[in-house]
Amino acid sequence: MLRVQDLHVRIEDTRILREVDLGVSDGEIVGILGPSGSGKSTLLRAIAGIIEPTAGAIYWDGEDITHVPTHKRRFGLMFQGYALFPHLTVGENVGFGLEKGADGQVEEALAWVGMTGFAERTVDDLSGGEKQRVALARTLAPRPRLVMLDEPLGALDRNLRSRLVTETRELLKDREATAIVVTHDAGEADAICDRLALLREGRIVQTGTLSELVAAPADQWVADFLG
Amino acid sequence: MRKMSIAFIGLALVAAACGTETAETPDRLTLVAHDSFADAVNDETFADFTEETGIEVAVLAAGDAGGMVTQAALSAGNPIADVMFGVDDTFLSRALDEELFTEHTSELIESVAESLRLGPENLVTPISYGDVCLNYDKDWFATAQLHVPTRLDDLRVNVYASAMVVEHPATSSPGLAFLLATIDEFGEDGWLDYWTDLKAGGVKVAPDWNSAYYGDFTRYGGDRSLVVSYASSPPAEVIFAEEPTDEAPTGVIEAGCYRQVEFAGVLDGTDYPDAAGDLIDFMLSVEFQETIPLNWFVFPANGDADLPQEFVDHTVIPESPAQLDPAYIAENRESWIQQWSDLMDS
Amino acid sequence: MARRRRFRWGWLAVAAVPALFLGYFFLYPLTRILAVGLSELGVGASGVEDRLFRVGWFTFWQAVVSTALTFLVAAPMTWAVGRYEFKGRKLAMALVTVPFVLPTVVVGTAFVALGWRDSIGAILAAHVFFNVAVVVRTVGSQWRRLDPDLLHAAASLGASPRQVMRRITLPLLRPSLAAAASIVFLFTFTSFGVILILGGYQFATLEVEIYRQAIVLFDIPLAAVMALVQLIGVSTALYLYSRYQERHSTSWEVSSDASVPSPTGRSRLWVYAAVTGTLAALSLPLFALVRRSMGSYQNLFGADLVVGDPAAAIRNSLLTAAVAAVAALVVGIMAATFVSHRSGKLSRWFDTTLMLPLGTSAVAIGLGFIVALDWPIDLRASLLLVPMAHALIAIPFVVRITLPAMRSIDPDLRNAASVLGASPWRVWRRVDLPLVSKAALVATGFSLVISLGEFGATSFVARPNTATIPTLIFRLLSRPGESSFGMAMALSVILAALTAGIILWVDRFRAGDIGSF
Repeated sequence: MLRVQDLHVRIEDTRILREVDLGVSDGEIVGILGPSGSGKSTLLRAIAGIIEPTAGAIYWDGEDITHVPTHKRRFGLMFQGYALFPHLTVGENVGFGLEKGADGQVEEALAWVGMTGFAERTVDDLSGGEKQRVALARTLAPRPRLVMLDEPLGALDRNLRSRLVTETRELLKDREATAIVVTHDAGEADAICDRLALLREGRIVQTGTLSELVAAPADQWVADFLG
Repeated sequence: MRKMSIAFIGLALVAAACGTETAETPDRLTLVAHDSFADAVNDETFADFTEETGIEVAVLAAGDAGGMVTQAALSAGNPIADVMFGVDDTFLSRALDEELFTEHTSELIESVAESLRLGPENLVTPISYGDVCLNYDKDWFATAQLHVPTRLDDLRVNVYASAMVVEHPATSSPGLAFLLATIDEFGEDGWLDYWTDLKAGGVKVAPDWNSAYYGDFTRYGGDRSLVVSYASSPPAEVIFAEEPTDEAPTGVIEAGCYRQVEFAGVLDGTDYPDAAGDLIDFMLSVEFQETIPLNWFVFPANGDADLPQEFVDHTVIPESPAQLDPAYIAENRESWIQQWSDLMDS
Repeated sequence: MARRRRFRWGWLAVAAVPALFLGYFFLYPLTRILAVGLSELGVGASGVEDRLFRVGWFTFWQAVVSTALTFLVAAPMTWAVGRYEFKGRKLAMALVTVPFVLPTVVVGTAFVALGWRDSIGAILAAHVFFNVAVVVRTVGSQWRRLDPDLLHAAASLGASPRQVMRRITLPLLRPSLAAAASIVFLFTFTSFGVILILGGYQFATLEVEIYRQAIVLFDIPLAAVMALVQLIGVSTALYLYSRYQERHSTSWEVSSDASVPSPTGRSRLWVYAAVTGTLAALSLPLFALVRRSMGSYQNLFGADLVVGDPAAAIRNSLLTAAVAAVAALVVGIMAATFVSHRSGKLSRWFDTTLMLPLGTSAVAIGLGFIVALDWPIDLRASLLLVPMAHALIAIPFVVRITLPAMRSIDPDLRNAASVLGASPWRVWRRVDLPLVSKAALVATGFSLVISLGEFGATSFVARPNTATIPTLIFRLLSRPGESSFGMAMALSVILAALTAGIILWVDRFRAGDIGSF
């Protein structure tokens, strides 16, 4: 399980995150919800080890991993813009985090997202929805200890989103993944996640399920944000 | 598009019309010279000529002497200039073979010493000469308590050969001149032996004058106290000293000097052969000749011209420098350079 | 597609200007001089093939080794400026560019003063010295445009920094690596001054041999054969480059460098070590220059000298550079416009052909001018010739710099303008031009400095004797006397400072490091 304790991130002179405490239990899907600029992506990057926190600590199963480099954390992160490697094929992208010659696992991961047979395609030829699926498959393929998805459905159109919301949750639950999903859409967050954490100007202002939050908002801002 | 091409043709016609016009006195003459002459030309250089004749002089720089002659050969009959200056005795035959020049005999030719008049006087006029000589670093020789060598033969000894730097004759004009001096001294049968000794003694070869002088010469921090340079180098050291001085820090070794004569000629195909001839006469006149030493660090061909004081004080003009017949040089230069390279480059 | 066909004739007109320029100032003189030489070609003298093969082989391998070493030396600084934003980066970029534009004779003298000469090592060191900037600038700027999330994604998938470099960064940098490699290869393949000054005769490249045959031995036919061999070598290299770029399309450059991070912790140390280390190594020869120039500045501008007026030389140099820059800019931007609008083989070949002058014998072109340029008007002794020769060298850089900016223009901006009733010309003027104006400024700066320092290529062109900075330096260096030498060094330092100043100035406009040089 993941524990983030009193995390602070300051980039140049801007405080992006302050006093962030967050726990994710094994098999739990936690949604980070907040308006744009609230520090959601930064939080994921700090957990992934891409950004060095200014203060605070990150623990995995009780072990302090704050200073473990990204590639040794075995955390998966799906980027907002997907960050698919343009010089590699779909299959090579998905297989990137796997041992060499793990073609079977590549096919399997592609099958999870319904992209069987796409392995030889180039990334340029994919549609937005296809890119999303490939990025998801690439993140899940190495079976990371923690899955982090940054606005996984952000750039897709409405119809596709509502279908993928269910698919994504099923996919994560089938693998019994421990996951954090960042989004700015409360409905989407609720549909994918077990529990939500509300982020505002770098602080977590409230946690709970959507219905709990709606029923008892901590302040006026939470009430307004959830509509 | 059409408008443009009409304008273009118009321009070409105007240019052609200008080109065929053959007035007696042009507004402007073009002189092509090697870079080291052309680069030192300033507003004053031909001011007197312009004042006397009303003709302006434009100067073209055409690379080194070899490059200039090659360019002239490639444009023979349709020259890029009216007068060429700076063909030296090593390139003279080539220029004559290509028939680059048209007839002009200078009225002042008699004031030029016989020994400088190496070419056909109706085609080329000697304007200046320079002696390529070994220079030595006075301080170094004083500190080392060595006698300054006085004959080329002295240099066969290790102590001198290993203190000596020469320029490569294929890429450097003083380098070629010094090679010619050794050929003149030791003859066709002896010069290779001489160089074999120099090589065994440890002579250094630099690609050009400035890396030899400013790179290897002890005076500039190198490890060679004898350098192939010019008879005019010591006065230049005085004139261009950082601290004013009365004594040149370097001296000239009179033995083994080679005299390079530089010629001017009217280029065949010029529209103004008469005016071009006048320009050559001007260059041989005493007033122009006396400006030569301080501008180009060579000596005036006209025997009536006086030398500036720095030159009188600090240089020696060798009495019997080596000289070879231009035709003889032209015939053998390639094979000499090749043999020298085969010996020294390996 | 239909649109494209409709404007075909317009595009041909756009292509015509660069094509005519290149044709008249490059292909035509080159063809003429080669024709003159080859028509007089007799039966080859014995031993010629041997020498040709030996020289050709040396030319090739020293260029390959020089290119490889240049990459090796440039790697740390390229990494630092490509990966991070840090204080003093622009100054460092300006300083690293100085060696690239210093005249060969100055650098040669500086190396000789350090005692580096007469060896293949000295030649290779000088080649590295001159060309480090090509790699740092070309590769560094593409690196800054890589999407950093690609690298993060690879790390989060378990790739170590070394694996990220090998599997992601290097493959994505291929286009600029190839471009830098081909430029450095062309420069070193045709190396002339460096070889003569530092190597002497035993290390002849084809260019040195062409000079020897044409100028020293008057064997124009043999020189022409060698120039042809050199041209074939260069064309082969460019062909391979073009094929390579074809296979690795450059369409994946997306990010601007707004997201380039500042280095933190230990990486900060490495960044500064890489930058200062590289600059220190490069400034070793420059330092000799500066030290020797001390005290000579007053002489340069004070005393009454027979060397010519340094102030006038600086003025002339700037004027020549300005004319060259205008020509290079007009031709280069039209070429880039054509290449960016027309995809496909033709435009790629056009792009590649523009690089040919970088790899062609300066001796051959200079002599070609003499043979060919008396038609339709006699330009052989024109004031224009030198700036045009400089422009030939600057054009490939202008294209490299402006092309990415043009390619990055959203086509819908053009479409929007067309829908609003703008003619193609108006679209270009109102949309394309303003959007590439920053890149154009950068290109202007580069054309200026290339022209300022150019010496080798034009020393074979007959030219009016307007003194420029390099010719004045050369003249001072060919005269004995302490103060001559000191003044030559002082003038070299002024040239270096001028160069750094111009680069610093244009780098201010380099928003987002557009352009790949």
